[in-house]
Amino acid sequence: MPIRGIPSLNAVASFTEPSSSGGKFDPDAARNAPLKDPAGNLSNVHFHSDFDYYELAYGPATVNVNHTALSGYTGPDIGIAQLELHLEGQQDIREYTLVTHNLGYVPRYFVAYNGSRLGNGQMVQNSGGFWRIVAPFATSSIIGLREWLASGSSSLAGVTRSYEVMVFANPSQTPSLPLMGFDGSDLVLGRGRIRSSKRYLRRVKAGESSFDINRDVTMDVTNGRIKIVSGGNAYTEPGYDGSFSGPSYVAVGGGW
Amino acid sequence: MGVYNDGSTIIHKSGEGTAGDLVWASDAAPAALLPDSETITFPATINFPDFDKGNCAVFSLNSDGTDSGAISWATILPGEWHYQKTGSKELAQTLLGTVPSGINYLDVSINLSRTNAPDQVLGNTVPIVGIKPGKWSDLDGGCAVLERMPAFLRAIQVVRSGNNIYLRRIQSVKDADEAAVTTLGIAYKTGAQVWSSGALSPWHNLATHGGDARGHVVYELDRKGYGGNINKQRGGANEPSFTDPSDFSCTYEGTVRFRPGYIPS
Repeated sequence: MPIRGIPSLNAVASFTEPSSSGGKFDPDAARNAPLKDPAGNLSNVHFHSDFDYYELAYGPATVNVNHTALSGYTGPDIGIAQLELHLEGQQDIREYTLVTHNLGYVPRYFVAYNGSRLGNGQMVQNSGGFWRIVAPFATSSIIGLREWLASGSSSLAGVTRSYEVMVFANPSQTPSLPLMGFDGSDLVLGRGRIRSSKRYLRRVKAGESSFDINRDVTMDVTNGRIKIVSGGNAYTEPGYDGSFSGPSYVAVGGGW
Repeated sequence: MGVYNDGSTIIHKSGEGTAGDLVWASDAAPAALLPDSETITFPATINFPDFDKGNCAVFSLNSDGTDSGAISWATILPGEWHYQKTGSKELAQTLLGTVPSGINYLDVSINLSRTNAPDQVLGNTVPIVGIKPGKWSDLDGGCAVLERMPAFLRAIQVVRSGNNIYLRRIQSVKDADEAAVTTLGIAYKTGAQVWSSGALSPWHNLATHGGDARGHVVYELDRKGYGGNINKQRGGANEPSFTDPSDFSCTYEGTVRFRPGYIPS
């Protein structure tokens, strides 16, 4: 299992050679196929500097959001005399900033709620059939949380919810750095794409983190209602009548 | 930093030697996204069809039975639409691309905007709930709700099936009791509505449906106010119109992006 870098490929990798054919530093040699084409030789690759290892730019950190109330509403009659029909309740859309990252580009992120990854369109408040449904999103400066909320003739109360957030930096390389070597006291690989002083997303033991990588879909819909299973934790809306059991997953965390 | 072998595990610590916090270990492997060249960016147009529709009406007599009023509404009927259904309920999946063998998860992001909105539901705009239009969202499990009201929900899934990646749509309308009961608070009268003139009971403030009592009241079709005449009940000479111009189909356009990932078991 060599750790080998080839400058013409601008890559360094730890891999199992699929054969002993060709020169060790011949980029086109069959033995270096995992280095040259990691996606096509995935089972032989243990590490590759072209991979993105989710370098942590922020977190994991807990962010408390004070979701504000929405007042109740009783509308005017919409019917005709003696039918006296009217609509009750109102809806609104609001936004909150979870993290200001100011990376200058739209980064990857994970948001967790109540012990597992937050689904896009997950309900975080259900009060007498009146809802607060949220969706995280990213811009080049923030990780935001957009919510849709609805009240009835009485108000939807304000609530505080805790979210855990991780933001990941895009890997970048500096041409002047070595393909594999040191930059000061940091071990750097791939001209700085990997740096020993940085933290990266990694596997953790179950229960050590609220974050997971789910290997398949996490949401099912029947009867106008959803079930979300993320990291083995199920959230089922009343009325859902399916049999979704959720995907396999790997618990992950933010380095140390 | 320290990298050492504790006898069974290769460990990388943040401090010198064995000191500090765990960064990586051979039993705490990092998650990895394949090279950026494996990212697939797909320009998506995502259509959802209109729902199955019905109608209902409410009817009222004045106190002496000499005048009446009526309102008719469109209803949407319970149903499930997705890729495994057939006929009008089938929402065919879209092949987005292929991924290398051996990957074991997808990193999915979407940036969508609604370019064709459904009609309002009783004056309420159908909300976009699972994304911020025009902004990027990273999707856990490749799933997002796009629209929902108490009566219905629309969602998408980006799904790996072998080495193929598909976009799937789901549209679901909740089972309903009688629409008039759930939405209007007025019970349907059992059986056909035949008004015999004059009698206040049993037709005052009662509702009828157009053949399916289930469904959710969503759109006013017509109203016949008090004054001028009678026979405004369903089937009467002056019944309100049941022609339904409402359209709850919708379209989202934008980008679906996914990148294959691998994390050791």
